This record gives sequence, structure tokens and C-alpha cells, in this order.
Amino acid sequence: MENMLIIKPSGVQDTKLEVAPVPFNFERSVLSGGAMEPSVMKALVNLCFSEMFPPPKSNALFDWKDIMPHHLITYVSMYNTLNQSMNTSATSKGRPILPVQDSRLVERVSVSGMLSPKDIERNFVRPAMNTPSV
Amino acid sequence: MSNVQNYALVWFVFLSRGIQNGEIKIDKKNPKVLLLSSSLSGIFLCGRETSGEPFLGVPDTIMPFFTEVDWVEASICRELGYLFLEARDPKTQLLHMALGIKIRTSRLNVFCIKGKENVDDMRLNMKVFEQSKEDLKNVSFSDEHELMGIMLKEVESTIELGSEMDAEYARTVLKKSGLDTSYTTVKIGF
Repeated sequence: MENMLIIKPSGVQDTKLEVAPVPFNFERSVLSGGAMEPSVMKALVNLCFSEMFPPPKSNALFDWKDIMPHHLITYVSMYNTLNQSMNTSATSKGRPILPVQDSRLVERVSVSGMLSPKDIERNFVRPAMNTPSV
Repeated sequence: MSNVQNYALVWFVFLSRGIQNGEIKIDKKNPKVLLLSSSLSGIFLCGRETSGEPFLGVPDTIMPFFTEVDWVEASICRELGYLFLEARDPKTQLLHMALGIKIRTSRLNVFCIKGKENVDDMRLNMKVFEQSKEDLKNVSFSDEHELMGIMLKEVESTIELGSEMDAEYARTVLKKSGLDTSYTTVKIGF
């Protein structure tokens, strides 16, 4: 850390050595976003994902052609749970970040099952902000 | 590219959410280019080591999926104020996706000082950092590079990141997807 000069890409900084990156909360920004927009999903698959992540020849976790939003959220929430259990504080403790294996996700899905759209709504969708009354 | 498919899903949801909530825009000229907003770009750090090598600091909250993409090259675009990370087919060099991190034009000098350094001699590394929840200015960096030696170049527009034919095809794909134009960049400035 003392061997580096670090700079935040945008925003205000007091000195070049005192920077505060914007915190990124995976659960809030990725998991709790409500319904997935089908046109965005379709555009991303066709623009780059089918080429960038082609399905493996065996033991595929999913296929881009028939992936459903609730499958996506199930796998991503399981990824997050496993990742947190393995990698929380890894960097500050000097440990390498460990990979999350597909086989672990398959194991978890076989035990706890896929989340239904209703489960996702219950667990991950942010409640609407209450407008305070006067 | 990684054979681990869960990273593909995490990337997919990360980008879909970003596009839906307006933190990521699809470039109209070259829709394979995704432009991060200033606030989303603010989750990264950039800097130099004492050896002079530039690095991009990646928060541990987007690891390990973030580096499980073939980041083959990176481009500095001083005109638009972006660092583009380019995911390409390692064999054909065909652009799969470019991720534009918004960085002030003057700060892009951290990757290559304009007029003083030759961009062809520069290589970009990626390092992971962890941010303290109690003191946001307290960041710990990993000693090791997560990725290293990514080739750097300079571009003047997003079209230069791929071929015109490729961009044309991507525009057709985007049009057919029925995506609302609010998810794309406006023509002015791009």
C-alpha cells in the first residue's frame, strides 16, 4: 500500500493518498434489483454473452437459450453466499481470493432447490420507499 | 475464458442491473461497448507502483467474477474520458465486450503520461483491494496482481475498439432486441 500512488477515477479527493472509492454493495446493487428486463437480457446475450461465455461441452450449469430470471437469481445468490463464506476479508488478511466452483452451486441447488419468482420477490426485491406524509 | 459458468451469470446480472438502473449505458456507435457511469466507475481505484507500472484497483466485492473474463487489451480514450477494458477472443482478437470506466481526462495520465510516455511501452495490471466499512478511506491492497501485463493503447472513439463491420452487426442485434433507447447513449458526445 505504501508503495503505491492511488487515485480515484472520478469525484473529489483531498490528497492523492487519501481516497475513498465508492463502496460497492453486491447484494444491494446486483441481487436486489427487482424484475429483470427481458429486452436487456436478450440484447446482452446476443451482443456478447453467447460468444463470450459459450456453454461447456459437458456439465453445463445453464444454457443461454433457456435461462430464466429466477434461475439467474438463484445461482447468483448462491454464488454470493459461497463467495462470502470463502473470501470475506481475504485481502486484508493476506489470503488469495478463492474461486467459486459450479459444482458447489449444483450441490446447493440440489439441496435447497431453485428459488421461485415469489421467493425472489420476498427475499431480494427492495421495498418501495414510503413517501412521508405531512 | 473461464470454464466456470457461475461467473458468466454473475457478470450477466451485474450488467443487466447496471443497464436497467442507468449506471451502465450501451454505446450507440458500437453496442459492444458498455459505458459505466461516474458513480459506478468510482468503485475502482487507479494508480502506479513505485516501479512505475500502472494498475487498476478492483474492489473485492466484485471478485472473483470480474477477472474471469479474457481482458486482452485496454484502451485510453482521452477524448471521451474513459479507460476501456477489452474482452476479446484470445485467438481471433475479435471484440466480445468493452467496459468503459469513466476517468477524468487528466487522470488518464496515471496509465500513460501524454507526451512523455509511449503507450506501446505501458502495461496495465489489476490489483484487488478491500475497503473498510468503518473508514471508507481505509483500503487494503493485495500484494499480488490479479491480472498483469494487459496491453495498453490509445483510441479516439469507441469505433476503434472493433471493426466497423462488427459494430454494424452489433447495431443490428441491438435494434432487433427491442431495447428501449433510454438504455443507450445519446448521439451527442459519442
